[in-house]
Amino acid sequence: MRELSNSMANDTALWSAFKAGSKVAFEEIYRREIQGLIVYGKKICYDQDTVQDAIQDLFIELWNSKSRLSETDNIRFYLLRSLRNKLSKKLPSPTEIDFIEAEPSIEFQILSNETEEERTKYLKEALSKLTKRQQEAINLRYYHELSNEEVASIMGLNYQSACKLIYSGLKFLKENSSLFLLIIGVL
Amino acid sequence: MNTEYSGQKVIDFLQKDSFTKWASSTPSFEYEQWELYFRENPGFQTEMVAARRFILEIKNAQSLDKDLENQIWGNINNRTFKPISFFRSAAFRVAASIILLLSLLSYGYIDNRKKNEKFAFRNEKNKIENSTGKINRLELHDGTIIDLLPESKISYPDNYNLTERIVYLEGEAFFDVSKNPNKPFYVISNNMVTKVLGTSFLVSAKKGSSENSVSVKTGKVEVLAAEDYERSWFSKETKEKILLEPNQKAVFSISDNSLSKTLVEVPVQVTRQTKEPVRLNFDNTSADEVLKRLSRAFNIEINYNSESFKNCLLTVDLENEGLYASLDIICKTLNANYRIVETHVIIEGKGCKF
Repeated sequence: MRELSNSMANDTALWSAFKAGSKVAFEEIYRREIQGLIVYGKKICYDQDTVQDAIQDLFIELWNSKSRLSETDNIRFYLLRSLRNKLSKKLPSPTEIDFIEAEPSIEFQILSNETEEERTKYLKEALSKLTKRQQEAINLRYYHELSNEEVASIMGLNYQSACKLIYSGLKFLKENSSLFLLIIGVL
Repeated sequence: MNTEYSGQKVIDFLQKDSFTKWASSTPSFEYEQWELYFRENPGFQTEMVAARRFILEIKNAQSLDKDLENQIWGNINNRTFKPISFFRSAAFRVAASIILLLSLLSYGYIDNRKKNEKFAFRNEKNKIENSTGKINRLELHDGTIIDLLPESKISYPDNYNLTERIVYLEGEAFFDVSKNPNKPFYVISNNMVTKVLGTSFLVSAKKGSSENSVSVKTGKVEVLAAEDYERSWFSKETKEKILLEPNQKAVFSISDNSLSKTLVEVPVQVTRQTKEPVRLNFDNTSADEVLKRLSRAFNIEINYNSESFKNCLLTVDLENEGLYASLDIICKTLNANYRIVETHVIIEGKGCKF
């Protein structure tokens, strides 16, 4: 529990230090969150330059407006949401293809002696068969460790829609790819 | 182990908010609950492990891009921190945020509402500037005495002495801090933090100077770069600090943010004011004993070959001499040389043989 209160307090303290103008805190925030932001940015936008520009602008604006920012105890959520807002402004219509349903016809061969590399490859393939919104939600939920509510808020959905989106993604993986079984089957 | 494996149950676990954090070993309020649940439900362990594995695989599927990270940071740096007036402004900002951080810590910054209502840090500070040509003596209400040198200024927040004592200095001041182990005393000066419990020392942090320094007269003092001090509030990285004893001095280089340790310009006898002062009046005393006592009187390590100096006898009164004058006299008599390395004195010479 001590570790927990430290890490929770850390986010608040780190943010306060940054808001007070600490460059050290600013870099700490950057180093902690940048890889997640790159991953997320690339997930919702295929053009790397656009993602890079958006992340750069995000941090520069953050620094320039630090004294006006509100308090937060979840820096990651704050940054992910800001990045999404930025990218959706830059892209003409990012949600156009979001609702195209994936075709449930993928079968992967189950091999009993999969290497980790192969498993990762299969997972990537399986995930790529999900709709873009399912992918985004599942990534936010499991890679970035956000809650259902935070996923909903970032994606501009209500709570139930976000839960449904994640559920449908998981269900699709379970029913249509033996990978899901593979990951768990060889226990 | 359960052989009937339920995919639906795996999905059930995956849908729970706090399960992700447990699976990723990220601390959360529900972490202990999940640990307990795992232990107490052997029937679901297969599904829990499977769900955990799914999450770890998702994380695994993402590759890190260190190059892009550094490239973006470089661009951000170029566009946010101007290289020319950087140090001055950064120094100001760092100092300001340390004061804020200290007050946040002591008031329990976990509960934001509490902090804002009852214990919000107040920006108004008490400020004293010495524009006279003489030393200005101030006494703070905790009994701490500050001799503020000309063209120097100090400020301190209104909550000084509430839980800790923070003074912000530009220029030079000699501090005689009243002892209070429960309320550490901090001097924040141009990127350098000096922490004490009760002692006397001189801090020199002149505006525009490339170096700051802290010289200790009595007691012990801790000095560290403001950046390291600040980092310690949100990072577990150990901070590089220097512990100073009387007659020692820390020099802080602003340009490369580094600290080094040396002796003060004029070391004083530290046992003078104590109940058992070390006597420095010698009559036919072995040089070995003379140096030992000199070392104790000034609290300075003196390195020499005690075998070769044991047989040298000295008759000399060093009671009212400074350290360097004493060393000069001794070395001249013994036909030896001394030099200072960091905070040590090293004496080299052939000694005396019978």
